[in-house]
Amino acid sequence: MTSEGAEFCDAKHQVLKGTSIRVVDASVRTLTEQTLGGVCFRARIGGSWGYATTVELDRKSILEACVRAAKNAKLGGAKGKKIPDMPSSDRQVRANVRIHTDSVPIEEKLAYVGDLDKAQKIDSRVVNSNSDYRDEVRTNTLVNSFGSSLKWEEVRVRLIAFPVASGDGRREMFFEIVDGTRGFELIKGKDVMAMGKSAGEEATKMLAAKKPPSGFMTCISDPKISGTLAHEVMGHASEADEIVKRRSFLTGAVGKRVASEQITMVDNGTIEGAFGTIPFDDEGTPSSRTVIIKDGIYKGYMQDLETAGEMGVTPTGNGRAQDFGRRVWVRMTNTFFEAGDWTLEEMIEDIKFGVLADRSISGMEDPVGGGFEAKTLRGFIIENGKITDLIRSFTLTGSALDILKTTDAVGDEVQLDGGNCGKGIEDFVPVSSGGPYCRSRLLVGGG
Amino acid sequence: MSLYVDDSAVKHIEEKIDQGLAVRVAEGNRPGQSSSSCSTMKEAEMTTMAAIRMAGLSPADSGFKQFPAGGMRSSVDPKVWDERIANMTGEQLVEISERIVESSTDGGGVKVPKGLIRVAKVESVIRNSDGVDVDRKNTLVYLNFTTMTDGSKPGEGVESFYSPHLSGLDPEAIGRSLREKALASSKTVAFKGRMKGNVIILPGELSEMLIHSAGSALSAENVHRKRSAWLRKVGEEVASRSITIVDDPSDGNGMLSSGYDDEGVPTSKKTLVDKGVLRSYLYDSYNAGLVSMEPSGNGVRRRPEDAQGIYLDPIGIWPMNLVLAPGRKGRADLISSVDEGVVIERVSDPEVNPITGAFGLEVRCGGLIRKGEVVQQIDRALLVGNMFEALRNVSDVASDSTVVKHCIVPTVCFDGIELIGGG
Repeated sequence: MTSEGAEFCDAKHQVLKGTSIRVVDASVRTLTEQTLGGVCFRARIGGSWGYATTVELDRKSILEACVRAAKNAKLGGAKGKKIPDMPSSDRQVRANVRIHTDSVPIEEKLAYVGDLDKAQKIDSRVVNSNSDYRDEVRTNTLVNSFGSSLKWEEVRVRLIAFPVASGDGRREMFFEIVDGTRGFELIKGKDVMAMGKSAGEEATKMLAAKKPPSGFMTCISDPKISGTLAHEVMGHASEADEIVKRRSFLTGAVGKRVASEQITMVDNGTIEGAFGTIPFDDEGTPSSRTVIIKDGIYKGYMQDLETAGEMGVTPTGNGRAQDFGRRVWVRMTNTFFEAGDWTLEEMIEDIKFGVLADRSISGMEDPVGGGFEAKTLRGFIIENGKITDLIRSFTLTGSALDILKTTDAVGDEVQLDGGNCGKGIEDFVPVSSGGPYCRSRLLVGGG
Repeated sequence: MSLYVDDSAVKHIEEKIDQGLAVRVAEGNRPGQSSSSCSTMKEAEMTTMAAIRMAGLSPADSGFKQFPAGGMRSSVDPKVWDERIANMTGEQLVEISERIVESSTDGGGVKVPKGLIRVAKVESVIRNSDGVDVDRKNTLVYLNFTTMTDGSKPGEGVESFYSPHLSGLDPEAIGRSLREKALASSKTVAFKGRMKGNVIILPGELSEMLIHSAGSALSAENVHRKRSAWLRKVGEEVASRSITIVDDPSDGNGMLSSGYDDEGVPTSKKTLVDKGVLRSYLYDSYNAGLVSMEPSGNGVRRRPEDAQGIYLDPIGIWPMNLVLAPGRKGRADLISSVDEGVVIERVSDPEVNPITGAFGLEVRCGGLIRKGEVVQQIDRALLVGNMFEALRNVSDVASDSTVVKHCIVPTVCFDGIELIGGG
């Protein structure tokens, strides 16, 4: 690629191999093994990238792909600063797991998922039980024009219980999830019968849940919803590609107050076992801890190689792609608010009327407008300092900066919640987000 | 091939060659499956052996009867191949993107921070040991661009285009629309108070809301699992009389339109909801076997806007091309017929709870309607309701059918959805 004019280039071979098990109503609905493998060549000329990917690994196909990558880079014609010189590196990293998923017989995996499914059917009101297990091993090999040669492995495991309950003409659902960059020890260490039973019980409780209130009110977000705020609004808007093209409401925010002084937020790709943890990003930069907000003051952005070059800073190991066939973007890893010193009980006791939001279903970024939206699975009414009624799914929204500036209580324990994050509606990468319980004022409503 | 625009310039051009194999195996009533990217006979054999191993390990499934039988010819043959897409070059993609950017930015004050054009050709072969023998091919073009105005409170415009053909793609019109949307969005004010009345939802958002609700309720898998909101409602009224929903794989504009589904079952045009009355559900071979019916040709692996890795996922039940029948009024006439209401142009994520139908959607751009005219652009509001109830309270349907993913839907006016603002 360099002989074709590439100023920077890399090649990445990747194999993603996984087992998926879905048990529904006590029978195995899906038992499948999936493998996705191939190679991606990237060339950069000026400020444009050319990519060529192929699943054919013979010498001729590979050389043709290299030429195509360089040709595509020339076609773009965008201007850009040089990719910063990085020291070459020659490393091999095995996943830090105790029981590698490859070593566990399928029968054993099936038994755990089957138990999880059976346990959900606590009574006849649980009309449908669903249990999903997925493990994935990513094996990555990357070489680049810095002279680096890297090989690393990522192992992820995820188990979900998802019962549906029905009664009095209503249907409601609940879910419990366990996940991480761990081996099968994560599942073995979990009491799956208790997990399934709890999910079933909570689904049946949801049948009595009331319609959520609507309007602007005090809200305590649970760690998962605090994480949605950290991830969807402050996180996506802190991805430096959005800054370079001035699409983020946080462009030029470094050094400014953006939150109450109780708020500190980081992206940290090095947390052992978290779902978004990676040894290297998809450009071969080691992952790192990036402080985004410190005591309410905005500190900085997450970077890939290109944005680091554009902004004259060091890459932070946030250049990530869904797989070898997709574009590298600046992406998060594990993004969360750090702990404060409030207990949940202290937060609740001085609320006259408000809601406690429990479990995030989804959220959506808004780097342009700085809006926040999170859909919750359920919640609780808080009246006169006490939790009263269970309420159905609702949505929280507001301006992220207004929410963070009105955050007057930050809980004392952080939890992380794994998931797959898209940039817009595509390009999903494994991440986690989280934080402690946080109290702020938001717009609430649900159907 | 995909082209990405960043900050009004062509940033990435990608050429991708993908090939893969999905194998399903049954040992008696023990099914197993495996899928893999694949370019050699050895990889194909490994994928097949993995599927056989999975079947050997799978417990018996009394619900599994057989894979689809071959020998049935499809009566539909949509034209979903466009030679111009199949032969498209990087230079041609660059030209299309430049025309969109020029049209969006002409006049100043608006830029294009983000854009994607994807073109692909997809060729599939579906065979099974019961005689299915199907060759299929299609092309696709998918486009998604955003614009943004200058200034301290930027407005954002979003425009998408989905088609198997290049012929409907008008880069200048897309650019102009992007520009108008961004400028309109820059004039929004936060909605205050609350309103329950006529809510007009445009096709881009409505299609997703419809797929999440009606699409889910129509799935025979969800019916069988007792989680469909339309369980045991065939023959009953589930929507307003103005609502007719058809799955029409014969329509050459549909992104998944095809004579055969991804199991090789012949597809056909089916009326699912007829003037508000539920007529039938959608079936793959597994769920059809459970009730001793023929599959309806709705076993789907593919995704409408993508061509990569489409062999990887297991078969699920989806409409091939969900069509909400259009009404007679144009969109402008629909708006002008509303005395007091709101038109929803863009929400954060048009997601609806597929089991309950509940939704709470952050409005990112809408227009308040007074006496038939949009008098103020709004944002910072929550649109709150239940999609299954909303479908029973449709006051009018427009004629502006638009392809969005694997749906073709017009603008619809609902009654009774609530809009909640801060303050």
